[in-house]
Amino acid sequence: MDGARKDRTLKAKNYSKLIENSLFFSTVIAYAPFTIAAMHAIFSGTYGTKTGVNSYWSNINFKKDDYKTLPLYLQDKNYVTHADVINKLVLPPLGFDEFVIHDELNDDLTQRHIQLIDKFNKIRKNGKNFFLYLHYSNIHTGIMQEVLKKYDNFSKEYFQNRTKNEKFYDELFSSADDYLGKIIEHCQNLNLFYDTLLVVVSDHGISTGEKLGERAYGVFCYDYTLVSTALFHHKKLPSTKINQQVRSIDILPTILEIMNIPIDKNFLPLQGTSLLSLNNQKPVNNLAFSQSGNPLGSTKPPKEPNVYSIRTNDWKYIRNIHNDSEEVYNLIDDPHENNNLIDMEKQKTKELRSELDRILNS
Amino acid sequence: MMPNILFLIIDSLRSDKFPLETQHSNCPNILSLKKNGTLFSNTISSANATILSWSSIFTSQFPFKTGIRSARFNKLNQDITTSFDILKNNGYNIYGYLPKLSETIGLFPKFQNEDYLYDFYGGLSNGLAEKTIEKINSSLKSPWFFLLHSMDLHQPINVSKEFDTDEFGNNSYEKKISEIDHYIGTILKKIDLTKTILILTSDHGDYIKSTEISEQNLDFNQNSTRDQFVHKISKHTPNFLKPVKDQAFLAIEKRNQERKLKQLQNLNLQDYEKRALIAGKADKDHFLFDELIKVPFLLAGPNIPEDLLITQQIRSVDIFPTIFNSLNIKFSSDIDGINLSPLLDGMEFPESPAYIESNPLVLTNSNDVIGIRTSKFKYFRDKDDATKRVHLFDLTVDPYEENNISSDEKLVQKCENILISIVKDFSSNNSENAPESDEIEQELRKLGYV
Repeated sequence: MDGARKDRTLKAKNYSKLIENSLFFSTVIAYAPFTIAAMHAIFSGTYGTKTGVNSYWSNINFKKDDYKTLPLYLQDKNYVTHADVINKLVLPPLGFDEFVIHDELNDDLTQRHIQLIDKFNKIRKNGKNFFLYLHYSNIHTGIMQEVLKKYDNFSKEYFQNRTKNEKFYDELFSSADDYLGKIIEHCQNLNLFYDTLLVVVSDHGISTGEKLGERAYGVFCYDYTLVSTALFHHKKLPSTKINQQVRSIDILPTILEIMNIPIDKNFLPLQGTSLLSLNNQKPVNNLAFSQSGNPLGSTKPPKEPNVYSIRTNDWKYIRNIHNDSEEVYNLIDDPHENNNLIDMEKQKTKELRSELDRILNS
Repeated sequence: MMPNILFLIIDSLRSDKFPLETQHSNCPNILSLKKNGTLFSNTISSANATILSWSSIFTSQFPFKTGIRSARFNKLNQDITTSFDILKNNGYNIYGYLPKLSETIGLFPKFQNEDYLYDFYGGLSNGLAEKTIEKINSSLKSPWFFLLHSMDLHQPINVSKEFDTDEFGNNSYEKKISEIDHYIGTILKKIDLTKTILILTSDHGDYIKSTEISEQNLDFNQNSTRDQFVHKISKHTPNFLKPVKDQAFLAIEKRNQERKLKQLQNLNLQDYEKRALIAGKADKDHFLFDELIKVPFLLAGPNIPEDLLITQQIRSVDIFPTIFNSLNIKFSSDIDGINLSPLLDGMEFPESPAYIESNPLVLTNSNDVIGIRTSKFKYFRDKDDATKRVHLFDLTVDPYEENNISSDEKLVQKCENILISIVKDFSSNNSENAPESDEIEQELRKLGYV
């Protein structure tokens, strides 16, 4: 669910219904607040600093010999694999038997994806396992047409009209939720969930004009774009909502554990860890590392990330490489990250700064 | 109707000497212009000398991307779109006056006035102002873009008698600014700022070769008359004698420097004063101190806020994207410069690091440097070796750049990372992967990200 914000996810009708019957992680910190780097991290269980995909431009740098991706794990287990994606840059194509690009402007994704589900249900009935990756791209489509193409990151007209932006995003999200509802209903009609794991993730959030300088995403490292969600629906999984912070790189090891697939030791170790043992009583303070690329007024994203952040359940530290500045926020008192405590929280800053350096140097 | 544009470059005009009420120069016309427009007082030129600075202003790209390396070697890469190309495509007629030196680099088009090239020492005070007024009075085809590069402030500075009094400044540099102001005034009388955009900037700064010590004026300015005479003679030197002439020049410069060092030996001067006084034209070691790269950028005319002073650091590569935006002219996004209009609108706008590099000598090899400047730090080092000639200054506490803190390895690494991110971006663009890069760009365009 490309660009699905956490706040809307929690309120949406169909999403909510599904959450009630699933293992749901409400605070998944994306490695990057833009699809290309975010999805490569999800599929490899590893940050882009390691895999080579850390910017809009770097999918060609993916270290395929070092990191094994989800479809490759499944292909090795004789799954038939298929991706229906928005663009060829967004995922590492390795391991997919078919890697198909849909037309986000003209295709009816609900109809298209239902047809794909039908096709793979037949394969399932023939005794074969399948992995179907469906990319819901129409939130992106709306944002591209009405925001990315019409405004720049500093357009007064956009940032002075928060209510209008929120309303527009709500409309896009409502369609996304309708899509999800129809897909779930269709799967239920096919009795697909009897033996199928459903994973629903968002890759990143989206701005509705919270901070001047970022009209959509992929610029800063604030929560409105970094916080995403992940949902695992399977009859053997508990119906639990986990609110503590986890990382998008944890999704792959979680899927592998659910499916009893061991991590392949012939590749470099994953940075993510399985989330199956997590519960709300026992918070695990995993640090979440993220990177973004502030275009700084240029109309192209930079080739290298220039904004780094590290987040705990309570704190966030941001390092802006492009202008050598730092930010620290107490996420409990200041969830909208308006009050930079860099001059007041010296000890906390030092601690987070060194954690960030540790990850960068690891 | 597109407004006309007068683009005035005062060669060697430093930002800290730009006529403000607090300066010693006497510049009523520039002050009045400032009241009618917006001054960016912290504009960082990409280079410390004219050729590389031009290459950067008029392509909105950092010099190393343009192909131009020096006055003698390399011309502009053929695939680069210059600001002149964009102006022409939008119906502008190009006029102006440039030193002949401009011919060597392939950056400038042929201007529409045939007399557009002048000898090295042309300036507002020795004929260019009159010629410009004459052109403006005649029928320039609108919309026009008039580029006037004036060498008045370039060493050696020759102040006319009328302005050579304390009333106009403490030294020849300040007095010359007062003189330039007078001539700018004569041009301004012919300009209607409701219909014309006026840009006043500089290509780079310079060392000021005089200072006051114990109420005595120490003046190391070159003898301008002698210098101009030598320049004229050397132009007529037969080719076979040129190596001898060049050797003689280097020997004279060396002797001058030794003489100056001797004179300064026992004087209590600050480091920044010393380096200005002893600097010579043939110095092999190049630096990028603020006095060499910080320039003014004044913008006035239709839709430009009046009496606005913007102190945030910007770069000379940002000049044309800002002008083009105000003219609603589309320009390539594949450039380093950014449109500064949010700053003109009073909005917050992130500062970008300025890439800087020194201009190599032509007659002999020089030790050149590359670096970056932010509002907090200045960092530069040998252009080929990151461990050599490393200079790092904390500009917040050391604005004269006298205390090199390059022993702070962490900070050096941080600045080096910023520098590498700028230079690396270019190398990856120009690597053998370039076709893949184009393909990625096409895909990103489909997604609305480019």
